[in-house]
Order: sequence, then C-alpha cells, then structure tokens
Amino acid sequence: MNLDQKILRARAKEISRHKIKQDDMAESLSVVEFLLIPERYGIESKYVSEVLSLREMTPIPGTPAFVAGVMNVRGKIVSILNLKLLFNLKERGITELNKIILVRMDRMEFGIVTDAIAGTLKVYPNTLSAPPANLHGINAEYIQGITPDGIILLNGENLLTNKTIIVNQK
Amino acid sequence: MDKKQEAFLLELINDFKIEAAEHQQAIVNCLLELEKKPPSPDYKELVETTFREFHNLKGSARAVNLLDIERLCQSLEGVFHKLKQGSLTLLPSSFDMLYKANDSLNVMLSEIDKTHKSIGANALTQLIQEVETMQKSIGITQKMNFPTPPLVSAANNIAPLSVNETTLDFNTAKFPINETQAAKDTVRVATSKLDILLRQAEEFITVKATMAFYIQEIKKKKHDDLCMLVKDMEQFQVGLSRMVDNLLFDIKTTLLHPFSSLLAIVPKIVRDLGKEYNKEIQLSIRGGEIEIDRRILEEIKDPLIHLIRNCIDHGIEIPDIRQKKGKSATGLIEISVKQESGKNVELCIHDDGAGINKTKVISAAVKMGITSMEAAAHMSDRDICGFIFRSGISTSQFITDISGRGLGMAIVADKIANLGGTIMVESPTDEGTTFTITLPVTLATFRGILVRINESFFIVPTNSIESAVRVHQDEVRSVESKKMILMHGESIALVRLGDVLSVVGRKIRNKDEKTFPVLILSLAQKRIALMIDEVLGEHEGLVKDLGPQLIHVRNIAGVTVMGNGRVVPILQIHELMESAIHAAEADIGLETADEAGVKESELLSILVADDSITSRSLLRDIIESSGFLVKTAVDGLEAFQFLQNEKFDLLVSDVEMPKMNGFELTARIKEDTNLSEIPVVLVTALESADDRQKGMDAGANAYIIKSSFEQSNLIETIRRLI
Amino acid sequence: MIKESNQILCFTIENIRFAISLACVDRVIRALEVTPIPNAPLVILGVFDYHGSVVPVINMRHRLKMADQPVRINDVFILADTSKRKLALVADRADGIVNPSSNELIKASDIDSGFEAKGVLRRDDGIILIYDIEQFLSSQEELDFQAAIDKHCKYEP
Repeated sequence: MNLDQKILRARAKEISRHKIKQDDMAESLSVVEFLLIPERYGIESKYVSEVLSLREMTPIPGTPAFVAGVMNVRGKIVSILNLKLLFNLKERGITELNKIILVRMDRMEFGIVTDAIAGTLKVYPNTLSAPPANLHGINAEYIQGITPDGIILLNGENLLTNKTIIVNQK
Repeated sequence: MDKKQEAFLLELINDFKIEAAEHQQAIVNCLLELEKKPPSPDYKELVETTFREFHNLKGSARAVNLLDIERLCQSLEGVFHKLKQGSLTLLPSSFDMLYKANDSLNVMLSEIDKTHKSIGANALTQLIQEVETMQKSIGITQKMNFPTPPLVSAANNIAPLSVNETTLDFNTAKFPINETQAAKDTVRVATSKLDILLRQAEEFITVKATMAFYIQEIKKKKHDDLCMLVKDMEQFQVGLSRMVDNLLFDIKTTLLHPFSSLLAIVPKIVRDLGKEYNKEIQLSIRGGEIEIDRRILEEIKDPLIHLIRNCIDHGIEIPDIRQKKGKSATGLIEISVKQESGKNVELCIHDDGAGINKTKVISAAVKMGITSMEAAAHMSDRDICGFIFRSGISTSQFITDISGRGLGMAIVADKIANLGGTIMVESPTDEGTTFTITLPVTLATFRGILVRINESFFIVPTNSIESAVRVHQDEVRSVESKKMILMHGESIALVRLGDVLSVVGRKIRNKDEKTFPVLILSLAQKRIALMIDEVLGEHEGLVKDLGPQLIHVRNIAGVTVMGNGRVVPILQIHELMESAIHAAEADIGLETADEAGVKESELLSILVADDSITSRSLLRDIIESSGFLVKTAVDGLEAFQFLQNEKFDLLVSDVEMPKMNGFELTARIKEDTNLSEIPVVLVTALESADDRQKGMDAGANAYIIKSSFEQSNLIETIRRLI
Repeated sequence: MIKESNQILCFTIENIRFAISLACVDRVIRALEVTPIPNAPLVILGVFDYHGSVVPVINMRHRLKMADQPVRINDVFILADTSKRKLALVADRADGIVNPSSNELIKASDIDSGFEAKGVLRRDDGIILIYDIEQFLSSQEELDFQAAIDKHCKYEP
C-alpha cells in the first residue's frame, strides 16, 4: 500500500470513528455554517432569512461598536452586527467580512457580517457538546453547543431576543 | 424507522395522495380533450399540460420514494415528450393504451398504503414495455399525418376579445360627469403654487418641535409656580400638534390625483394580454375617482401591471377549461379602489380563475426551507398564499415569463412596502385570486441638506437650518476656550459636527483652504454653528427607521435612501442641538483648519486593490495611519487604470478579485515599461505554496497571507520596498 | 432559510467546471478511502462510513464518460443530499459558490432526458455545467445499489 492509500485510509478511519447514533439522528437541525476567522460558527437556518453580499454599508455614529452599520435590503433598512465585537473576541488578521447573513425571529431582524458562508449542514442536537465554561469569553447564553466537527452553534433564539443588543438611547 | 420518522413519512405520503389526485384529474381531463374530434384547438397546449402533469407526478412520487409510480410516469411522460416534439402522433388506438396505463396508475395510487398490490412487479414491467412500444411503433410512420387541423382551427378561432365594453363605458362615462359637476365648485390652481403652500405648512413642524423644546427647558427649572403653567402648555402643545398635523394632511390631500389617471391604461393591457394568452376576459373597474398622492400612483404602476399579467397568465383559465369547470367561458377581472379610512386606500385586483395551487406553493416553500410540511399543515390558506411574496417561491403555474419585466411577486411586495403599504392575497379554492393592496393616501416626505463629514454623509432637515455660510478661519474666536463665530452681531458657539457625532474616518480636506462651510441651526431661539466639510445639496425623500435592532440612536432620526441607493442618516435636530451644546461647553478640542499634518505632496502614495470593502478599508486605515497617502480600487482592472493615470509608489493588492485578479494585475504591471518599477505586495487568503509561487512568477515583491497577517508586518514590508 | 436558492457550488474535474445547487450540498470533505461494493452499479465507486452512516461515492469520471482514475489524496468529496439519500461526488477540487445572474444562464431545461446538464452558465472565465443532484443516480441504479448493499450487509457479522 503506498503512502496516498495510507492517507486515504486514515481519513476514512477518522471520519468513521465518531459515530452518530441512529437515535441521535432522529432529530436534526438544519444549520447555516459561516466563518468568522478563525472560528466556524453555525446558526439554525430557521432563523436565517437571507444571505447577501455586502456591497455598501452606512455606519451610524453613536451606536455601540458591535453595530457595523445599516444596509438597504430592497428598500428595507437592516442593521448589521459584528459578532466578534459583540462577543468581545480579539480581531485577528485581515478578514473579508464580505457576506451578510440576515437573521430574524418575530419582529427582530438584523444582519451578521461573516468572512464566508460555508453552506448548510445537518446537526444532530444530541451530538452537541456543551461549550467550555469560557469559550473565548463568549457569553454562554449565545451558544447552543459545539458540534462534533467543532462548529460553534449559536443559540439563535437567545441572540435574537436578547435585550442587551437592542439599541435604544431614548 | 422510529415513530417520528414514520409519522413524517405518512404525512408526506398523505400530501402526495392529495397532489396525485389533482394530477390524475388533470391528466384525465386532458386525455378526454385530446381525444375529441375534430382535434382541439388547444392540442399543443393540452399535450404540454399532460406532459407537465406526468412530469410533476413523477417528481412527487420520487420524492416520497414510490419508485413504481415514478417508473410508470416516466414512461408516460416520454410519450408526451415525443408528442411535444412532433415525432409521435396519437392514433385512436393509442388512447386505449393511454387510458389503460392511466387506469393502472390510478390503481397504484389508490393502493399506496396496502401491502398487497394488485399490480405486481411483472405486470408493471409489462405495462411499461407496452407504453414504450407504443412510443416506438406509432412514431415515424404517422409523422406525415400530423394533424394540422389544430393549427388551422386555432387560426380561425382567434380568441374572441371581450373586454366588456359596457363596463368600460360606464367607467369612462363616470369621470366626465364628476368633472363637470366638480367644475362649478373648483378653481384651477397651478400645482407649483400648491407645492409652496405645502412647504410652508411643513414649516409648522418646526413650530411643533420648538414648543416641545421650550416645555422641556421650563420643566428643568423646577419652579413650583411654573408647574401649572407647564401643564397648561403641554395641553396646548397637544392641540397645536393636532392642528399642524391636520393642516399638513389637508394640504397634502389637495395635491392628490384620481386613480383613473393610472387605471386608464388597464383596458388596453387586458385586451393585449387576453389576445396573447388566448383568453376571453371581461374587465370591470370601479373607484377610479378615489384620489391618492401622485408619487404613489407613479410607483404603483409596475406592480399593478404585474398583478394583472399574473391574473391573465395564471389565474384565468382558457375558455374550454372554464366551461368544463362550469364557469362562463369569459373570465372576469375586477379592479376596485376603495377609500379605507381617511389615510388609507385599498386597491383590489380580483380574478375568477383557477386560484393559487396551495399544494404547489407549499411544496415550493418546503423545498426552499421556508416552512416544513408539518407547519404548513396548520397554516391558513391566506398564510400559504402569502408565500408567493417570498422570493424564490414559484409554483410551476407561476413561472412562465411573467417576469418579462423582471418583476417578481417579491419585488411587487417590496415596492408596496416601500410606499408604506401592504399587500395580501386570498385564493379560496375555485374562487379565483384576490390581491388586496393597502396604500397610504400621502407619502411622508421630508427635505434636508446633504452634508459630508470626512467620508460620511448626513442629512440635516431643512426646517432647522437658518443659513449655510462659509466662514474664514480668522473669523473663529476663542471665548473661554470655546470657539465662537459672530453672526449678525450675535456670538454663536461653533462645533464640528463630526466631533458631536464622533464620526470616524479619513479626513478629506484641502489643507490650503482657509474657509470652511458652516450650517447655522436654530431651534427655540437657540443657535449653534455646525462646522462641516461640504454641503452637497438638497434632498427630498422618505424617512425610514433603522430596523428593529436600532430602536433609537441618539442624534439620528432615521435614514433615507438616495437616488443612487446610498443610505444616509438623517439627523435628529433636538438631540443634536443638545449634544452640540454639551460639546461646545466641554470643548472637546476643536482644532481650527491649520491642524497638524504633513503636506500631501510630501507623502508617499500607495494604491490598495481589494474587492472586499472591509479588508479594503482595514488595509487603508492601517497604511494611512503609518503616514502614507492611500487610494483604493475595487478590483484589478480599476487599479490598473489608476496606475496608468496617477503616480503611486507601491501597490498592495488582494489576489482574488473580479475582472482582473491580483496575479494578472501584477503580471500586467511588470510587463508595462512605465509601471514595472512599482513594488507589488500581494495580500491574500490563498495559502498554498502553489499560489505563493504563482504570485512570485507574476513578479510580486512580497506575499502576505491574510490569516496570519500582522499590521506591523505589512508596514515593515512596505517600508522595506520603498 | 437561504433565499438565494439559485446559488450553486462549482467544482472542477479534468479542467471542466461543473456545479450543483448549493441547497443540496451538505459539505465538502477531503477524499478518503472508499470500500467497493460487489454488484453495485458501475457508477458507484464504493461507500464509506460517514459518522456511522454508509454513503455511496459516485464515480463522476464514469458518469461523465471520462477516463477512469483512482481517488487521489488531493481530490474532494462533495457530500450532497438527494431526495433519497446522501451521496458523495468525487471532484478534483471545489471552486466555490456562485450566484448566477439570469443573463449568464444560456440554457436551462427541466426536461428529464437522461444525464445531461440542466443548465450552462457562461462566465467571464469560461463555462460551468449545472447538474441536478437527483441525476447522478437513476432510480434503477438506486434500487440496484440498495439491493447490493443489503446483500453485502447480510454477510457482515
């Protein structure tokens, strides 16, 4: 067996090692995976209304740093949040932050800047592991869990209903 | 399979059964029609419909894993595919075969749940073989017998046009009567004069605001004696607000136009489309005398045409089908306008056609992931129909090229939302489709001055601006460390708007300029002078809020969308005045125009090319803060054009860009005798050694990977190269 | 969910660019060892164990009538969901996501007539052939594969 075959075999072994039990498969969440370099995040697609390219954005002075600005989505104005700043993560490297995921629940709606949208995947809730007590300092209530692949699954409901992200300076 | 999955599959199968029954019915109808003598004028259409029905049934069967049904449909679809192409024609005997196959299909559909199937695998295979033999045997030989009658009869039988003249007469007759009646009680006034009146009335909004400001100020004094007075004033303020609002509203209503000016184009459209789709249509228009803002009428035209097209293309059935359904051969389209309340108008577009196929809408919505089959099962018809306004949702009945105008249902809904209106659709089974559009009678517009601070733009509402002047830097005085300017003998505090708002960004200003523009704002007899970079002109538009996450941002009243799509914040003058006064009191270090800075001509200039606005501005900020002059380009091609027209000392470029990527750009520069000396730094997300080699081959002087990027790294690299 | 359902995932095989709808793509992984299944349709290269479930790998070269070639370490597997199961497509590389505009689409057909591109996308940098994920395994092949895998599994302890 040559080296390439060995590598291929090792990969096959690795991917089969983590079994997802049939029970775990019963219920699956459809998740949109996105990249905020260097981490991979996911948010349930039921909260995602649209994925857009960031073309033009208007910063609004006086808003907290995590509000990157507002953009015009076919006549509707939506605010765009930078999760790295919301989560107090350290900026690393140059990031593209070129793609927007619009998330919504009930009346709340905003966009999230991302470096890239990786696509959608199925996540089995039973396979999620609890986030470490202090995952890069992200407030635990924003996180639903970590997938076996290491994707940080955001808690869409908590994110969208969290009062602290609403800006009301009246 | 666990219970949950089982239940889900069962549900899917139940949905499929409903859908299959509809396809079956349609197929039988088509076969009956096709068999008629002489051949139906709609021969082609019927073949097409049958083909689609089998095709759709096949797809649905596959989705629920009913592979036998899928196979049979596939073979039948094949027959109709050939019929469509004209490489096959139907003989009287072929109908027997088709009915037989279809009956079997029916049996199979009815036995989905049963374990014992009356049509076994062998019988099915035989049946499919028979169908396939039919495809071959009646092929070529019959080709010369292709029934031309359908075509001939279609030509003789041009769909009778019946836009109901009486209904139209009734309507056209109605307007002149109104006009003559009205003539006695009206005077002609030029709209320009009315516009002036409207503007003057709008000024009263400032009066309202001033009043509110005074009351707030008095409240701060906290004098017991003033308490009662404040209460009285507050009451007066409520009354005043109402009066101002009413005055504005009444003036706006004098500027309204009747709907008839828009609806006049409808009969022609209906007539033309009726011809195009071979449908007989009677049109009825009511309520053309109802009035609405002229601007709304202009905006609503395209959505209205789109909806009418939809009614004709997808709603109204062709006469034969209508008659089969027991309807009159002539379809009906009713357009009615109603005054909903003083402030809203309701526009209804109704057709008595086939209505929206909810099953298809649901399956399209499920496919898009907008809803699930389970959720859809509990939805009202109205909610289901509402899905057609989501972009990407189209049932097969909703795809023909109604979007020839590039206007889908989602865009219709967006346009109406932009006007502050709503659209709803109802389509009870077999009762046609009704679109109900609610529109405001007038548009809430405002006017303001567009100003620039650094690279940001803002709109200052016109009604708060007393004047805009240019001030020479020598006119600025310092009084107790505050900056003041003298206007008409009065000292006015001068603040930089950028400081009040804490606007960040690059300063774009000509250093040699000794004067700068200032806006004098006045509110409640308080004045303040705002120093800005540039006044760009006046803008009139709609105020939009900042979305649900930004409920209220201090100093910002909302945003407006400019003609070019740029979103610009509108300043909230009350708050801005307060903030500005605080800023002036605190004197947050307003520097006059001669602030420190090296002459631009002495700076080295660097071109940054990156298609991502985020990394573009990040790169620019980093490089600029190290004392370089930076210009940016959005792609390689633009960068190359800049390089040819201006002198740059170095290029920092992304690799993956549209039009011309970083490798190509580098290669072009190195090939160009005038540019080849310019150092190129590639900054890229591509990490492979291969790409690094590619970059070097193209002639790049340095290669920096984005993910392992350090600011100091880049600056060091730049310094090393120039 | 993602509204821009016309987004497609592009990939390359032998310098020819292909695409499938992004909506059906689960993820893209690096190539790994594939276990052949006796009696399975020729188009199925074999299967692998993906977190405990058996995923068939489509031999794209066979499907596209190109010269056969064993899986190489730099190949990628595109995991995609058909209405029936998850499949893996072998490609030389995945190129990324494209959001085609209608004027780039030069042909689109919704008629099933065997295995042919559903659409052709004309881009500045060449042509992309768009396929429907459902096409890669016909219903007959689907049945044959299931039969082969059932049989195969029976022999396993």
